[in-house]
Amino acid sequence: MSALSTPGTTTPAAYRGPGRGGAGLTDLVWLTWRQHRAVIVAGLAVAGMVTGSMLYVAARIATINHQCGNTACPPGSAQAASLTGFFGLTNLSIYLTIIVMFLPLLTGVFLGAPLLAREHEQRTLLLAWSQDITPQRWLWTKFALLGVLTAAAGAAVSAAAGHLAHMVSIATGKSLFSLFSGAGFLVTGMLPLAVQTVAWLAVGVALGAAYRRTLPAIFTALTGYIAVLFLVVWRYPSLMTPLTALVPYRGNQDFTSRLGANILVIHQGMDTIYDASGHAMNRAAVQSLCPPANSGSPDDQCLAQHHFMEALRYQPGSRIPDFHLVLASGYLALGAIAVAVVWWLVRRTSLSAG
Amino acid sequence: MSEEPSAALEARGLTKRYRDVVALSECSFQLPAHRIIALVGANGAGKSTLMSIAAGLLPASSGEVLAGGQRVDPHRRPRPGDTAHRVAILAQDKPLYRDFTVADMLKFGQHTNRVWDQRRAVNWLGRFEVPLQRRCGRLSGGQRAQVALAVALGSCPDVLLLDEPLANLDPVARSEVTGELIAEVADSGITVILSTHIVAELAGVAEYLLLLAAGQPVLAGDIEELLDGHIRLTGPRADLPPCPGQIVRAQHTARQSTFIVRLPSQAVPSAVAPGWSGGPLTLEELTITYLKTSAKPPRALEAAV
Repeated sequence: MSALSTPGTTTPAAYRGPGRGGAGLTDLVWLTWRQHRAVIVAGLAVAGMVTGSMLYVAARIATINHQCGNTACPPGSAQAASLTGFFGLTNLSIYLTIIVMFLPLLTGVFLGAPLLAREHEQRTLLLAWSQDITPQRWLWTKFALLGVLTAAAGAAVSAAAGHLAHMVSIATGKSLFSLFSGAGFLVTGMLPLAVQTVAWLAVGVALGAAYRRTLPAIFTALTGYIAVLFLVVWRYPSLMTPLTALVPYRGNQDFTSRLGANILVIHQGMDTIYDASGHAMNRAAVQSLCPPANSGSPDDQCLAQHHFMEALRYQPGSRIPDFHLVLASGYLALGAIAVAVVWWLVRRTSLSAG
Repeated sequence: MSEEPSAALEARGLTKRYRDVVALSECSFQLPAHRIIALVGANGAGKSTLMSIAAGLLPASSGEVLAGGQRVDPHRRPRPGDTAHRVAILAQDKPLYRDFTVADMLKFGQHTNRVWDQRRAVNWLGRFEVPLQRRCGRLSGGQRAQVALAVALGSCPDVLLLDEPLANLDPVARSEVTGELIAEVADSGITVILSTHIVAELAGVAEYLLLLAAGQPVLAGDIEELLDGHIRLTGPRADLPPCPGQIVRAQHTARQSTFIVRLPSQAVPSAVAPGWSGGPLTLEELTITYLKTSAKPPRALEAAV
């Protein structure tokens, strides 16, 4: 129905039937469910299976950890064997985490991209946008409903991923596993994954609105997701200025006692060598104490014996919530841009009945 | 209490450009309410563009369309309690959600419209024996058209725009649909505007004609009055017809001339001059005549004979 209202204008003589009309929020809930129920059910099933699997693996790891006295299981034990190996629980956790990392992409591809693109392809926008609901209301109500649903699912999956990562961290030893690195960091913390899921839903909708074809929108979303993932993995360690600490050269790599658990090591190397009191030493002094071996490099054992130190640049584990917040803000900005693009494109969309 | 506007649809200086192509050019007209109005024109005349603008799906480049006296705005819809005119459109390809059942499509209409008459929609489908539980993707072209019509009618519009509504229907279904449309107009008082380029479909259906050519209205009026107001005159070779009026078209052979003349208002054709024979035009002849001559403005005649 087109817009034609002015208070005070009398009703034309057109027939008004006895039936009840709609066009309210609950009516749009019905429409959203009816149109997208297959994808919603499939998506929730996938999210449910992944979440269930992660909780199951986490429970198994907790049991093993309990059997090992709530510490890392000794190498060679049956418990350690079930944790390691290609199909061990640790690797299984990594596989599940990687699946979780791509759930936002699935949301953008299967829910976001077709939202407008399929309507354009099948010309059903002519039908949807010529009723008593404005195009903007039709779109944003559907987007809000799907956004809330996907954000909730993303937060739930992320919570399970966080629990699993925590259990893996305990079982494998906090010195070997950091919640600050890799996919484990990207999918935990609830907020980043929840926001990321909604952001990619918005990106999918924007691409669908721009291309008006589902397949190109899906392909572009896929490419964009991988590009953004690489960008995030590349840039996130330096989102905040890293701290520097001097650590024994090639000594005990367990920094947990000194630097706390879950640090993110950004750089560790012998650009500069420090003596035991923390003073930088020049190359000649080092070489006089530890002459180069055949390879031309200083002898590692000698350097360790002299208690030389090297610089370690790192992000402390206490910054994980801050980093998650920055990451979520980035995805929020991505989603906001996508939403603005959708709004602009929909305002400019013209449909012809012919 | 204000009075109901007499025009169901009115265009004021309506222009629509698609980059360099002008689809509608400075169109101004009024279409009466509670009638079946034929919107006729050749392919590309601007019929679908006009309907899309009137339905609020397409913005005009300049000018405006008023439905029931209110400006059509794509970004506004009537609110609960409003008594504004509502416009429904049935697009040429009758789009439906393929995975919806017919019953779902009726629910769609109910959930997306402030006013909905389920009985009216179901009755329409019942008349054409469209199965309610079948998915729209499995319906025939004719059945899809009936479902789209049922959704449009169920929303109880004041103005119903039908773009080539009979294109997918067999001859029997065409006759039935037009008959039902006439009954709907009589029962509910809605205004139906149907576009077509097949004038034969309109016989006995449309009451009012708007003829578009090259994006401009070239003829508008009550069809009976238009037919009564035109005459074909055939006689010996002559430069002018033997009666006053506006020459719409003139054809000459070596010995014979044929004129299509629009008679002055109130004029009743009297006896035709000796040697001349006169006859009425069919609607198809009238529209074809105007479409063929639309590029050439008709000459006015003050008087003849």
